[in-house]
Amino acid sequence: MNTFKLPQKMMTILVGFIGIGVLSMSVSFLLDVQRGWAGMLAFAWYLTIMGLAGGFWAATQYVTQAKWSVVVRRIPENTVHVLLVAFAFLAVVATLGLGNLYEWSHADIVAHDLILQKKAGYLNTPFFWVRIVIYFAAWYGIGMCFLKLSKSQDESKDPHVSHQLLKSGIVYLTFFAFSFALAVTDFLMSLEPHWFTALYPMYNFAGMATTGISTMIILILLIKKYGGLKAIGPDHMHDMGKYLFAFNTFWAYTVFAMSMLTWFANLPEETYFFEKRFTGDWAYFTLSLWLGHFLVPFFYLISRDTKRSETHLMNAAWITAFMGFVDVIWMVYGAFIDDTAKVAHAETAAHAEHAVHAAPHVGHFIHGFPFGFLEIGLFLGAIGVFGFIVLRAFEKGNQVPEGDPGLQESLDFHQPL
Amino acid sequence: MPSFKEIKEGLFSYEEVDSGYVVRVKDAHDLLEAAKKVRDAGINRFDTFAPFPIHGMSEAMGLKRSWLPFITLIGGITGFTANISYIGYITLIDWPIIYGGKGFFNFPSMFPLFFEIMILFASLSTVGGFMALSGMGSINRKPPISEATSDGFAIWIGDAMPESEVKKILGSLAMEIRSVN
Repeated sequence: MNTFKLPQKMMTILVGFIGIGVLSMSVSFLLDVQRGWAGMLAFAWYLTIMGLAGGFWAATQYVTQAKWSVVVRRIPENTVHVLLVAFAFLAVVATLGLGNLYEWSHADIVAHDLILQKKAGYLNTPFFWVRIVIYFAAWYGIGMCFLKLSKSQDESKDPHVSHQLLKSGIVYLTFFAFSFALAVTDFLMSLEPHWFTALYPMYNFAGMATTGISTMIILILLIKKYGGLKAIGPDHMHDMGKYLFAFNTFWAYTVFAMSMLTWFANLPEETYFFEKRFTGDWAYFTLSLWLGHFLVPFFYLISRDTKRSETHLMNAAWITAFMGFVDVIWMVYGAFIDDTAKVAHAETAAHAEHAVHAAPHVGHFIHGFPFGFLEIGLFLGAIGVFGFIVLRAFEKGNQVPEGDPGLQESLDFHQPL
Repeated sequence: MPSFKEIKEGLFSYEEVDSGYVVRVKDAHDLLEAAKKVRDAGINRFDTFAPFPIHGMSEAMGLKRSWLPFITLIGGITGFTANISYIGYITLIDWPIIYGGKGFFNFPSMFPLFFEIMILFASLSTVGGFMALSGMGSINRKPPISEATSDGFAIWIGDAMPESEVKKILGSLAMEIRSVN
């Protein structure tokens, strides 16, 4: 067994991050219960996308039978353990916090709302719970199956395992495409159940991949810094950097596609989603998200030398990981912006029916700029939970899949000049 | 009226194997070693011939990184700014017209256009830059040994030096040394 153990000091720092996260969550619950629930949803969803990205990324490597990534594979495979914690938090949100976040869960609101009545066949509490359990059972089950198969290959050196991984990868990717789109709709889009766009799952998929790749890069570089994963050289990190760059650019593409179509069609049922995110302090928040998530990492990572340098790649990965959390906050908190004054004004105007749809019934407790120290604490907490769980799981097994038939090819991997 | 061949030769200049020695080596691995040795000996005019691309040959020969990515970047930036100025000139100065109720300069609706033109400029400048940098015209260059198109590996040393010097540099790697006139 070729294992690796991170120094106790780093683990203590990660536990400290978890402590900051717990503290921030408790403080936000004490200050404002609704904001506490919204923060917990953002925290849990961020953990979910980090845990999902590893399985998704590993499955793409199995299915394409990529050889360069064999030495990188163990970190993504181990991220599946995070899904358990994410599920625990989302289960709490979906039971105790449901009424605070999702207006379709209130029978009295639905009774006075024709649109929500029409959607009640899908958006109702029991079916919501069933869906959550199905998603997480399948994601966790198949992810653990990947990990088990891949680890069994370490001893047996059986090349047929790679073929089994390919087959289960196809199953996973097919299921993932549908289940992720539905899960995004359930957890985030149904916060604003009157609003609709078909591009929202794609936008979230791009954000998931960017965040996932950047957190994988952070963990790999952290392990390399303390002497582990010697098989991974600058050539492999260069490719990881390319993944980050590509998915980050794809994220910007989806943001633009979603916003531009809404802007062009100019339907009141759709535009209020962006309109309230471009009013007051939120305009700065939205712009800093778009600039910080796309432009800064884009020009940072565009050069070959940045992608090959561990320091610069680590910086870029931290920027995109942090911005991934800002993105989740943008989606979750945006549903609860305090726009009562504007709605009251609009109700007297001609488009009263649209204004009523736009008014969030559950609460509008987000006043002003939404991102503060508590949100930074939640981000650090999520990174701490992710790093702690994944690294603990990583320490139990081999650092690289030693029985994979493509291992030698991966070790010899070389980027053309 | 110049002939087609004359035009082609006028457009592209390339280094012909016209002097020095052509040395055959056994296989791709030996060719890599030979390239490293020749580079370390400080010889500037040399080239390698193999039937297929060899990983690590650029580093072994000490080739510098290509300028092609910068040409692509500059092409992309040029296309983006040129198209913004063009659309801006049309919609703001030359023929301002409101359509779709969106105002004169529709940045979001024009953005796909900027994007596409940026890609067009970037890709065309990449193709052109690639042709210029790689000396695309020299595809009609004759290999110094005919086996280089099937199963032979050779290194050409262009500097003028005695044959014993070549032997000293390459050592046991050299299978057959042929002088070029």
